[in-house]
Amino acid sequence: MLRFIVSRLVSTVGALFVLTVVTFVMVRLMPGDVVTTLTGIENVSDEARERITREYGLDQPLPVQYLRWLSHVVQGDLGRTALTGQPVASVLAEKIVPSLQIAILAVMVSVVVAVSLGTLAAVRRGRLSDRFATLTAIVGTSLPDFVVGLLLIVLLARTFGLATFGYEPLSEGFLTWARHIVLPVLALSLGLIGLLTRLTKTAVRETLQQEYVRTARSKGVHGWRLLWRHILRPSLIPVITSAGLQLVAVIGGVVVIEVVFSIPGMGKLIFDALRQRDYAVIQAATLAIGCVAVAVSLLVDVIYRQLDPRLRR
Amino acid sequence: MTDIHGEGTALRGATATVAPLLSVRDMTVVTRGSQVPIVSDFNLDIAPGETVGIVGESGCGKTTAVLGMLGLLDPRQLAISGSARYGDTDLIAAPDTVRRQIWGRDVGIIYQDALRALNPVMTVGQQIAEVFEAHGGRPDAKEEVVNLLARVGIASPEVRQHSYPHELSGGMRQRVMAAIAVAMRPRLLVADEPTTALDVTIQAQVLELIRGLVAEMNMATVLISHDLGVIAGMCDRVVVLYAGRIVEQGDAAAVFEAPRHPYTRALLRATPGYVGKVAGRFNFIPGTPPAPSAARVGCAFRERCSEATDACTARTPELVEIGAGIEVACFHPIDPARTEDRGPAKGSARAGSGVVTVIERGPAQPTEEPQATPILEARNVTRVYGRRSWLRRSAAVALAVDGVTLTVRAGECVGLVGESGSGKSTLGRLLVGMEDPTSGEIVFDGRPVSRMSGAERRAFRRSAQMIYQDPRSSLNRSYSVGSILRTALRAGGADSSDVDAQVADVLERVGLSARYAERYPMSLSGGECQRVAIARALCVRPKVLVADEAISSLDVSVQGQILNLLADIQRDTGIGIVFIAHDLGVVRELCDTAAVMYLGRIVEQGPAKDVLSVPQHPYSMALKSAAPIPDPRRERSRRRIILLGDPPSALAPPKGCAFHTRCPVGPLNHPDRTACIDDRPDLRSPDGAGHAVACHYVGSDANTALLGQVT
Repeated sequence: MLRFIVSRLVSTVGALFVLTVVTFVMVRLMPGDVVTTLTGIENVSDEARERITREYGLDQPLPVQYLRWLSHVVQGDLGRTALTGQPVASVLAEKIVPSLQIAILAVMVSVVVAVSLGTLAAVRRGRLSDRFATLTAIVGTSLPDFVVGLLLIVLLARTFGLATFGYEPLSEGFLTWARHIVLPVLALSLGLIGLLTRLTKTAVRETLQQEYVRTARSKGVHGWRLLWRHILRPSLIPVITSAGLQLVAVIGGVVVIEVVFSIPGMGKLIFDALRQRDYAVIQAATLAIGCVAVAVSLLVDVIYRQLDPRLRR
Repeated sequence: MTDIHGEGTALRGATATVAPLLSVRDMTVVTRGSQVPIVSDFNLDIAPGETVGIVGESGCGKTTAVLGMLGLLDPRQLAISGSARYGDTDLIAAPDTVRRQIWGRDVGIIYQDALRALNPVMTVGQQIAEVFEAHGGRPDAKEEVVNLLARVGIASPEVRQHSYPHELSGGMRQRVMAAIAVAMRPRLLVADEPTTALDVTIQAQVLELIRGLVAEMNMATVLISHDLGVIAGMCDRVVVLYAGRIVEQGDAAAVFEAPRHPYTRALLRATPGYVGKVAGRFNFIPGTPPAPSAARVGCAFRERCSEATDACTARTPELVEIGAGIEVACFHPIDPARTEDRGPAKGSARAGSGVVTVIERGPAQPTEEPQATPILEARNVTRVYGRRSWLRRSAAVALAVDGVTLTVRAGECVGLVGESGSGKSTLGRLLVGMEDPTSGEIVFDGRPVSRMSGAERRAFRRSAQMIYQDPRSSLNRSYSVGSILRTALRAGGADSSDVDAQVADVLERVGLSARYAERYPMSLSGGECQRVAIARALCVRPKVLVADEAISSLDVSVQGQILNLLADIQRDTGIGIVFIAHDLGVVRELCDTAAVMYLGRIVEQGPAKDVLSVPQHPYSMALKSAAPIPDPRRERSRRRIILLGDPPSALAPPKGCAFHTRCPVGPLNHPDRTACIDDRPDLRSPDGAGHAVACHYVGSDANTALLGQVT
């Protein structure tokens, strides 16, 4: 297992390298003048323009610029933001917390709800609970996140006294934190629940047809033992894979949700940085998201191998 | 359980007084919705300790009937009526809360395909222990799991209990299934085709294990099998199913000796490997079993039956006792006094007697002496898989084929036999140029393939065609038979103007009418699919045909048809055939020469009759001995050679003679035979004639004594 993790990490270094190169090039291909954005003045004097360009190393060829950035990153220096001059690392550390919290909670809630609903639908095929689960799945997958968010605000916010915007860290107290985070998490979950419910339902139905389920029954195994060992465990393999991959996609959803609920997270950070041509922030944020994605897919692979002994060596 | 002759009737008599263990009455199983009957009017009593065999072609409802009487069918797909009393419980009607007390505790089941019947994400030890947990648990469960694994013959059970099913060989998985089935020492053991997917040598091991367990625990047994030989060797009583109905049942020895239902007789005669050719032809049952249908009236076998009359169409015959505990559902049961209608006594049956003969072509002429022109040769070929690569430090290297020399002459049929993993299929692929040998040379028409130009190579590829085991998956299901054949004909350079006529022509050559061109593979039976596959091979006018287990996935009733077809094609076109099979009997009957392979090497080679009737290599003897015979008297009285364990891995073949780790006359039992461990024997011909054997001790007293057990 350790060898597997190490070899996977080694191969991801390459992927991260490509990711940063592509971002680096693309950001610099964007239309618009950096100096104008940096200074906030339309007519910058030639002298000033030259000074700023030199200061930021923008006069160097792209590969040199990239290598310089890379060598700083390797030393732990992500640079400073263009406008405020704060260290990018600390800005990132602050903004990533709410985003990660929302994303992870949403995935956890979705998996729990979707696996229960999907299993119920598969086992009680054709009955009322199956129809309910199927309906949830369809509604969940077809409604866009922001619509769900607005609906939740309208329907739930006042009744339960939930906050409709902003974010409060855990240090402000659990209830305050929860009051703010419930709605974004729910809004983000619904789509995932829809997708995963359908997946679970298909997987469980397929497992129910497997001969080993019949073997288990003919051994006298029944109830929870039958459900967990012989039906759910084999069915979860594709569900977990998909859930893990979704966590990466969820980060995209977080951006929208953060806008709807005005949460100061990664989504908003990237959004602002792109508008301001804040190269250092964009670069660092992409790298951070890339790292999260790599970590998640590694985690999924480890869980996957844990669930399916056929993949172990 | 071993000697039953003469006790059959006594057992039946006992059944009348002793209450049956399981009593099935009027069980009918229909599909939900369309109400198609899968099993109809099924009645069966199983006495304590009795072994009942259930036989029939695939799709005749064997498994459904047995799972039905145990209450294990999925009620959402199948509706079941009737009763199956086990003690005070009706296994069909009782709620799951009651039945699951019986499942696993009183009834143990061994399923056909253990890889699919075992949970892939649980260790085998957990899966055995689970039986105890489901029935109240036991304090010594851990030790008992190890004991059970040891009892079913798993080496180092303490280690193996932590293995997952996919880490075990097919034979070991089936042993684990047996351990699960007998964990609670049930009173009834059900085995559904327990050895079908296994090699004959492993099949012999597993059957021996089941025999031992049944005797030790005194279980009643229901054994489902399509293999009459397996039934003959194991069962006191036999039940013959056809199209979901019992057509005959009774004492196994009596039924095999003098079958009363035409279907039973036809089945017995259609075992090509045992019955052999009769007047130059293999027997078979024409047609296919009818598709189940609710509207059907009359005997389901009538279309394939030689005795059928109008009565068979008007009414469905009921199962009636016609003496000596034999029950038959037939208006025209066979009179046991008519000796020519007896069972598969070798050579006594006449061609087609009692069975409708299909009008194909007349019986084959006596085979001409094969011409002496070699058409395809393998010269000292070796094929290595998984070569050392620069990426991995030590990649495993497997010698799939190791220094094999084989000659195929025009008009000659060469048989290749051996266990799975013996390299016979790899050799087949080397011969048709689908793979290149790692060393050695494939020579076609006197020219080494490696030195051929691109065009010559393509011509060679066309000249050497292959037919596969599973005809369904070897035909593309999205094309019609006609377009499959047209594609092949164009590849063979056919004139496109009359291609449709050629399709009709080639279909006729494989015994199918031209209308088949419009059909799709999915709508054809297995036998028809295999005919189409052969037709496709013929389209390019090959000179050699390699048939890789071409009949093993077909029902015995149609195997004979395909064998006759191959023989006809060979006679008409003079092509060479390489027939790869695990059924020694078929190879002996069909082929001119035969080669026995073990771990990539040929261990015995020569005229098929000599090699397979009087084998000289201990491995060939073991193979011959392992094949069950559909004759209860002979099958039960004979001594078997049961090989130890699985074949060794080709990744680490034993030094010296590769067979020495399992050889019954090797160093295992004769410690003085050290040459087997030190030296690898070459193929030598003891009599100087064509029969060559790779054994240091060929013809020795021990070897001759072993041969005595086989013949």
